[in-house]
Amino acid sequence: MAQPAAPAGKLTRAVDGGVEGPECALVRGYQVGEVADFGEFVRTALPGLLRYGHALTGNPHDAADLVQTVLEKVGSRWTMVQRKTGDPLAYIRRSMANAHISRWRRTRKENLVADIPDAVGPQSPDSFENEPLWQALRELPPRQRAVVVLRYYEGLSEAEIAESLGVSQGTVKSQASKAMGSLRVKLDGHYEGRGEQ
Amino acid sequence: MSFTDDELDQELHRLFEDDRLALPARPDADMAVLAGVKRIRRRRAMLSGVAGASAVAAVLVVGFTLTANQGSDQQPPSGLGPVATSSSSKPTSSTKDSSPPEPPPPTSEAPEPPAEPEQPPPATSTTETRSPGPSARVLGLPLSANTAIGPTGLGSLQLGMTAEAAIETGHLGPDAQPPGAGCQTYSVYGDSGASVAMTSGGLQAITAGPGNRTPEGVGVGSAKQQVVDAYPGLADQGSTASATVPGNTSGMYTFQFDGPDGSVVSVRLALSSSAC
Repeated sequence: MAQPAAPAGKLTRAVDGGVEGPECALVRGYQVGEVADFGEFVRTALPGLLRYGHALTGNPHDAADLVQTVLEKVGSRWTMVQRKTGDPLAYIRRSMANAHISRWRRTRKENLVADIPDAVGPQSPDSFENEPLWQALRELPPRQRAVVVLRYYEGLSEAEIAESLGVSQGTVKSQASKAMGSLRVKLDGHYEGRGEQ
Repeated sequence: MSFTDDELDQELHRLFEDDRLALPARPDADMAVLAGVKRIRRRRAMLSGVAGASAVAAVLVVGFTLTANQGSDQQPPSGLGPVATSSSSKPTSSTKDSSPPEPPPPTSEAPEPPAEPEQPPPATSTTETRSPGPSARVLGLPLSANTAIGPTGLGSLQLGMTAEAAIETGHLGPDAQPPGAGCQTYSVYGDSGASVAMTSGGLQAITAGPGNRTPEGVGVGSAKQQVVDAYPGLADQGSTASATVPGNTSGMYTFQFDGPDGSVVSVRLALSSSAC
């Protein structure tokens, strides 16, 4: 079952074995070109997006689900997204943050504690899942978590975060400060609980 | 010991740079995505291309709109996962009919408008028969993220309107289908993060996105005290509270807080008679 991390090269190779040659692309025209272009984009962007989704959602299953949902939608309007956004990757990341926040609100209210469904398979029980900070992040409400991720993972400024999430800078500020407050409390609690200095 | 701001900053940077954050993509993950793209386009083509033909009645409604799914905590297994589950056949099985993408021909500069796939809909199998209704040519119309929620709706999405009328606004996106039995949740088109719940009886409830505020100025992130001040008749149940809507006797606001004294994490406007 254990699936080793697939390097980008492997993804690419798997698809290069496809049956259609370039001449088919000409015959079938623009649409195929667009699909191929998007396919290439997906192969390149996927590792980064999955990692980002993992940071956003806190678990592998939701990460994969989120990436797929957003990519499918973006892919179905790829030409327009490319033309209108200028930076599709930034657009996708922003959409992921928003989709995560709103989806979580709809479907995860009942189980705030991250439950990793069986379907996720062989997540090695390595220490990452047990990192106190990772666990503390997981317990944050989604918007607070998103603010932390956008700031520390994406390196966005407060203004950029506000724009990405469609909220005011004041909200970003207060969410960030709440998030940092609870992270600190949880970490302090953790280390005191373990009698560490 | 107590964490200083700097230490916490450093810890967060360290965590987010950790290699273990990476997730292995399934080797055919890109195909799963492309298959999904194809499904969306096919469905869109079905709705816009052959309007009027009765063949349109066969509409794939089931489960695809992941974000519109509601009522199930078990999300379908994902196609991208770091996973080798045999149960994740949903995306994989449909890759059969998806043409493998080419190595990148440099056609992306082609200035045509986005082409819609021409394949006719698979008028077969696991489909459910529904009237395409008046929504067959709906274009997705994003709703501004700052639209007010209340007293009667969110922009042109109004409580109590028929599902067809709601879909026709375009704010539920080009792919929205009328609800089946029970309540169905629809994401509002665009990045606002808002959503609505509908039954065959019409639009029942609206959940605010991050930027939507009530006319009284309450939105996600508002302090609980602000809510208490804005709605004097607030029924406070701790982490949730509800209030009648000023100016709309048939509406009800429900607020959720991130703790009994926390800030607002969710604002919902619903018909007070709604079961959703």
